[in-house]
Amino acid sequence: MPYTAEISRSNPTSIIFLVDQSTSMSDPIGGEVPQQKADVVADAINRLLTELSVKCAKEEGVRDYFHVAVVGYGATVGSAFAGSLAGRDIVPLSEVADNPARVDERSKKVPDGAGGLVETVVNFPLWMDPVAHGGTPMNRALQYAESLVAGWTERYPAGFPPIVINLTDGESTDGDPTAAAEAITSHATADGAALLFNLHVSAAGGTPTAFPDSADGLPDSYARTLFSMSSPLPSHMRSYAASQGQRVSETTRGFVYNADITTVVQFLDIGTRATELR
Amino acid sequence: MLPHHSHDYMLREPLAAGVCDGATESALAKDWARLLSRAAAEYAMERPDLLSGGTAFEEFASSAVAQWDPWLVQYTQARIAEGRPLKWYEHTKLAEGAYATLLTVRVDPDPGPGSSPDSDASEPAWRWRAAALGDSCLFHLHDDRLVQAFPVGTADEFGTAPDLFGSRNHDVALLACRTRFTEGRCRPGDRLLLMTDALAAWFLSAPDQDTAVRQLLEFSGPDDLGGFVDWLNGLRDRKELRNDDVAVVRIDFEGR
Repeated sequence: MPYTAEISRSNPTSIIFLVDQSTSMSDPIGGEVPQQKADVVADAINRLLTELSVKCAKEEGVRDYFHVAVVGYGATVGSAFAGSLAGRDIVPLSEVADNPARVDERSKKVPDGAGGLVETVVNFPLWMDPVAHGGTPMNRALQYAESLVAGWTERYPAGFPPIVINLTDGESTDGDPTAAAEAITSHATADGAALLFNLHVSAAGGTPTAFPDSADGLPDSYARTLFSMSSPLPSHMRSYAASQGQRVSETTRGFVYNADITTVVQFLDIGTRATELR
Repeated sequence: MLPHHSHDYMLREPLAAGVCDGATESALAKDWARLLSRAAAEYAMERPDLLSGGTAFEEFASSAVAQWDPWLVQYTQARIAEGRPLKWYEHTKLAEGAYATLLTVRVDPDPGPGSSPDSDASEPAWRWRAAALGDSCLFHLHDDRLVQAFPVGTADEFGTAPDLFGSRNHDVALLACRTRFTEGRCRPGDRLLLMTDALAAWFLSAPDQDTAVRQLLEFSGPDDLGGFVDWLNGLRDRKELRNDDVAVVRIDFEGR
């Protein structure tokens, strides 16, 4: 059965984030509080890396269940890490967690354990800053990711396959990205093909959508292209998404339109989940 | 396991034992599991009605959760004193609490032979009561045959999201509601086995249960930890046992 390989320290998997850093990312995204797309995407990456680090954190440090790359594409294509990780491609998660470029403090409402909420100050680590400069070389970015995926599947032929998460406003300027996307998912371990998920941030409006099972209702051709490039969610991810209240079917894909994608890292199994009784 | 007495002493006294299994995804789960299992065993020794649910269980749950924050303050101070203050991700993670399953059993010798209507008048008997939240399991064997599995009955009921006792969960009514309770009676020759989920799943899925029982009894004794570890590693290598921590408590009833 595919996508059942154990994710462990001796058998890690890799997650490769692709971040659109083109000039168009300085445009605002729709919604109640207008934000630059580049801010939304940088925020999503920083929260995804936070979620991953916290998910794998133990008292002796963060466990290397995952190795992570953050690749930016705009004026150039390459590592988007800031700080001491700048220029690095695939980095063990423990190094990522221990080396944010900086840690901000933000206030957040958290459950008080008795059904209410209480405001508290939380650490908000940052590994990358918003950038909006240059074209949208999505093909080159996907090809870059493909080379990382190829290297990983060769290194861990029996492991859980690599996951590529592409965050973009969808407007590739170096041609139709479909073939480059297919090239990524043509690489496989014994446990299944590499997975490609897409987060589309758009000013086109429409209903925020998470993990749809068809392109019907998506607002533009960019969204439909990104949907068609996205891998179907493996069954255990579908089950977990369903348990979290998401509407899913057998053809649900790893595509999110103007919605929160940080949930995808919660779909990844590394052992017994730590969830409160409900 | 309480009390910390020799076997001879325990023959005529109640005893309590427990297994709590920390969740992979939570930090300090091992410490929370240790605190929780000890609290449950101590409470069960003082208040056996804990194992019937209701108010006594809620009071226990409340007292266990109340112990966590003071423990965490001490731990945090110790880390600072060691020059290893908590990292940002530990602060974030610990704000979510730690999580573990709970399985507690209390065993009481019957006051005397024949005191129970369903026991043979000539032989001693023991009454056991158990509480479980999550998928740590208790197995009751009679003549080395399984007579009761609690709270999970079949291997396919195990998953990655069992019910868990959270160190910050103050909703004690919900904890009591999700906890399952059962009881039984043992005679000489019976055994109780408490074990964490991976080994319990292996046991329940074994194609030949007689062989599985034989292996469990051979390797779960007190004197050969090396043999036990080698046996577990063999099961893991053959993909018969999930790669997970294993804990076993074995209570043999031999007469008195």
